[in-house]
Amino acid sequence: MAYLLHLLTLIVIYSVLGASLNLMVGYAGLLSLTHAAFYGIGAYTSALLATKLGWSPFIGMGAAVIVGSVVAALAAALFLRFRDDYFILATMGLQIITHGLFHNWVSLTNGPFGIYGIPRPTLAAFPFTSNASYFVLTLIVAVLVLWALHRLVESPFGRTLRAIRDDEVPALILGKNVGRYKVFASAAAGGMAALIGGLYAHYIRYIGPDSFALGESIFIFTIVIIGGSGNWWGSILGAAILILLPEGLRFVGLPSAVAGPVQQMIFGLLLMGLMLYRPQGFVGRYRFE
Amino acid sequence: MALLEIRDGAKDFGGLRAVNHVSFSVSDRKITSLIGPNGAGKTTIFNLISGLLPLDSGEILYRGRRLDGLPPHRIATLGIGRMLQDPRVFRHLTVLENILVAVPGQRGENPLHAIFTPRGSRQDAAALEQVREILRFIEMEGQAAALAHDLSFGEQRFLSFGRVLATGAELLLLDEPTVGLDGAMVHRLSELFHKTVQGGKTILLIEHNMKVVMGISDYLIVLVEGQVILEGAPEAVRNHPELLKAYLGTTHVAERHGR
Repeated sequence: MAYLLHLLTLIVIYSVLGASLNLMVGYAGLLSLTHAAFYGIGAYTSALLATKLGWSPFIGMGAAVIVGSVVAALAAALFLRFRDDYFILATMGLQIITHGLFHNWVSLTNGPFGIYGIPRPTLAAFPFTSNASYFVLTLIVAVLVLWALHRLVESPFGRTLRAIRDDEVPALILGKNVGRYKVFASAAAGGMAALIGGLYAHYIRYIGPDSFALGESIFIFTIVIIGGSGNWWGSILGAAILILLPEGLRFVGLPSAVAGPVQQMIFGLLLMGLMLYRPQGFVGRYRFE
Repeated sequence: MALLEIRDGAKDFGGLRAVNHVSFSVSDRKITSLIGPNGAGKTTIFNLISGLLPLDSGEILYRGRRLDGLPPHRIATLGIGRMLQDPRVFRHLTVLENILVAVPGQRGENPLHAIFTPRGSRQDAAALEQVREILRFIEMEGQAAALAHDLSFGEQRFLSFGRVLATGAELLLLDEPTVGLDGAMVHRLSELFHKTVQGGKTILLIEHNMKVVMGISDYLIVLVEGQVILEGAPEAVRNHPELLKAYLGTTHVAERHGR
């Protein structure tokens, strides 16, 4: 039961990470490989404020949102000049740099050893110490974030984002400040990833740099591709598949030395199969063209 | 009164002088047509006006205000709309959304408003009513819910025109709007242009179809190799020896396009 609860918590966390990345990928057409960096920035911000300064995790998570969205906005403004493949490469570079900072800024992040003893939050004398209560907290935050995302994309803002995704030039000459839209979308997505990072840090209570490496960004990106871009249910489905699939393999009884590579191969086959037969993902609105 | 004025505008592409010290003005509430053979620099002039390309020298004034140097979206919000040569509709948006997206100043375009302001405000309703009106005008009410990429090429043209109308622009730059349309559609579109100008707007048109040009233009500007060689009312320009010289080899091509 505890194991199941843990998996559910992870699925909720990754659903929101996928959904927030989907705002960039599926709605703004920005293929970003930096999402784990913002997730990590949020985790470190909230964890450091709690462990070093004794701040309440809730305030820490609020700070994480601010730091995450500011960094994401700056990065987006800087990367506006890049198109398509170059944009992806630039975001990949930022991801690697951020991971490098987590790893090497030892005086702040404790380097490869990470940060221990991150406290669970307490709200009005109610401590979220049990995993069940924390799951409920995670779920509430997730619902709020998904609701905000839903409002965003159903609004004129979201409509303009989708127009920009389809074709930038007409959007520009119709009077849309395309650059600002991209920066806003990136800031929103980065802030949401950072919030979830804070939530994760106070859940798992230990964070290290390798939880926020390039592989993690690719994992979140894969959630979006598998589930389908431009659709929230897709992100939930994608997260569930990518988290449950390897767990399911454990029960098949493969020796662990074999299970790992088999898992990677199944992911690979799944991705290739999707690209061949269902390029818009399981429930996506758009094909990757 | 001149709504738009280009003074001594020039643009080079490498060694090629695409726009060679061009000056002309566009009168308010009239249809002015830019004509001339392919490669004369017509679309380049549109790109200069709408800010997609920077001027090398000279200046562009709109209502007496300098435009050159402003980013394209600012120029658009000042009241200059443009229809591109390809319709370039937003393929994954519906017909209605394509037009709605162009309506300026919607409060929900601000992401914070988008999240926290209650849905269905009076302002949204006003924008929607405006879009319905445009759909009636371009006779596409029946296709409001269709995805833009399911439309025929000709329908996409009409949608593209509806979209630029929704911006509320005073000056419409239309780049070969009738290319690839059948005769009936060309006729319908010309009617719409006429009505649009009667409604108080101004059109600057690039057009190869001489029947359309002569039929709806109030004023013609003939461009050859990046220079204005002739301008005036259609009757005056029509039989001018300079026009025949510039156009003789290309007129029949234009006719074929237009049909």
